[in-house]
Amino acid sequence: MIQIKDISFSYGETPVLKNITMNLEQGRIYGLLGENGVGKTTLLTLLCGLKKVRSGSIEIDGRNPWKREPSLLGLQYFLSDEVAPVNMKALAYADAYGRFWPNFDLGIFKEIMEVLETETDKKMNAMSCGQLKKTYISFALACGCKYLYMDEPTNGLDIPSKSQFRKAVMKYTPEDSTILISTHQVRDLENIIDPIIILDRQDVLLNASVSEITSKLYFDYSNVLSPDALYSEMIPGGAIQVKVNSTGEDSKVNIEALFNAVHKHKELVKGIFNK
Amino acid sequence: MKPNMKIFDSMKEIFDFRRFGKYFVADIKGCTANYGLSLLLISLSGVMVYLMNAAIALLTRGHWSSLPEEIRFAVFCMAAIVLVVSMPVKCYGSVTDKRSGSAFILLPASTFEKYLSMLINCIIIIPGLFTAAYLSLDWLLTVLDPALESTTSEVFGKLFSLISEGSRELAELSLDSLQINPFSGIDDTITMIMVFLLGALCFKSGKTVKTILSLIIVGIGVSLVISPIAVHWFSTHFADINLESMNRAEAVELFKGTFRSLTILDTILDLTVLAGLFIVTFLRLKTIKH
Repeated sequence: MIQIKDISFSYGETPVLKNITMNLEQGRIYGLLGENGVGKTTLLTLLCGLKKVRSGSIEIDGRNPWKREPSLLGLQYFLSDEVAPVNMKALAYADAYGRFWPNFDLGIFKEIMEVLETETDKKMNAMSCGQLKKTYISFALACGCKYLYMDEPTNGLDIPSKSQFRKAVMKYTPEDSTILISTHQVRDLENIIDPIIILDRQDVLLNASVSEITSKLYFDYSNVLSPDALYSEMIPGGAIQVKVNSTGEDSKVNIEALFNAVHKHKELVKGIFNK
Repeated sequence: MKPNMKIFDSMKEIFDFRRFGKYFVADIKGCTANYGLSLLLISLSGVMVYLMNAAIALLTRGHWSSLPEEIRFAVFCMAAIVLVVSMPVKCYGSVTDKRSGSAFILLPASTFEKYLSMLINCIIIIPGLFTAAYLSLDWLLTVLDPALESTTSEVFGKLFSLISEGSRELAELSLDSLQINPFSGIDDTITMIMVFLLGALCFKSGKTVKTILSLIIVGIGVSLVISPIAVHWFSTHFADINLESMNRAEAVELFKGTFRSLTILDTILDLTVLAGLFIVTFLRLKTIKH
């Protein structure tokens, strides 16, 4: 379990995260959303131990990630938005470095590479941006980590690969793993992320499961615009409106609309979910 | 959990033989991919210079010409300098790159294991491979070309014996065990490797140039501090001495203590600088952020 307590972080004089507190439970795929510069990547790098918190604490299974203990590093993998074009063939890279993760499976690596239609015997520094990303995605999933942090994993992927990526995440990640995916491409991951975390500048606007969201907000896809909607937007074939769910009716979450509604009514939404 | 088990577990977080073995092998593979070709070219530099010289002689003078041993030795020294300067940057410079550095930091091995592997590769494996390859090729040249009188390693031998001879002369100054060690060049080489390794781990771009500039700045700074002290010390201790009126024995007697003190100071300084470099490099590796 990941416990984030009152953490703050700043780049020089510019504060990015301030008094952030949340718990991330096992067996969940968290979607981390937020505008540019709110600290999504910073939060991921703090969680995996690439940066040190200025104040507060992060505990992963009771351990501080900044200590970079090999036993904890072996339980996690951070898939960065930008990945390194190593001067090695993909299979050689996976074989040489995969063995550091106790649950790494070279067979799964090859399997995912095949599903994503990427050659394993190609040098990584000769790959296109998308191929390189797919190689690292395959590696990350083949590590079988308990904690998987992904920063914009679908950036650079072609359309078929985005769907294969979703399938691979569902198929190859252990049941009890905690996955945190930071993304702007919410439609790519709409069906797999639950709960949803929305970060704002120095604040957490929302950290709730999809069922919790639908119990408190209603996503109306009808054509009739309601004046009391928190957010409304015309979409092809009608409209999407986000309303306070006063009737307990079930609906399907539209993450983009949710994001916009939360941003438009920050305090109101925080109030609804903190009840 | 028993207390001794706890200690054992925390020790394993710092160093584990199996994990280190795995890391070391992966690190060597990484170094081979990043620096293998450069190492090969640097090792071949002696042969290349020899062939170039022969080709130029054939074209200009119409006959085969061999390189004098002094030039071959100088080429070896130049190649060694190029190795010391380029190796740390090429092998480990990517640690400061956000993409490669993150992967390096998050690889499940301890900082100490990564550091130790780095040191073994930079101080022993790569320079060892270079020396062995270079000198073997040089030996091969002397076998193939009868005009070459001695190998570069034999030139080294001659140089060492000259230094030893010099140190024996210094021993006459009653320096006892504090003779000049002909292998003192090795610790200077290690110091330079560590300087360029630290530069590779600290500077994000222009690593070699910035390291050399830093060396110059530190050198000037040290000189500015030491020179006035030395001038003051010599002027207070040797102000009234007229060397011209002394014979050799008197001069030896006079400078014996000073030379001994300076040798001790030099050794202490060398070791302190080297130890400092080892510590700072480790701390840099431990606290690097991306």
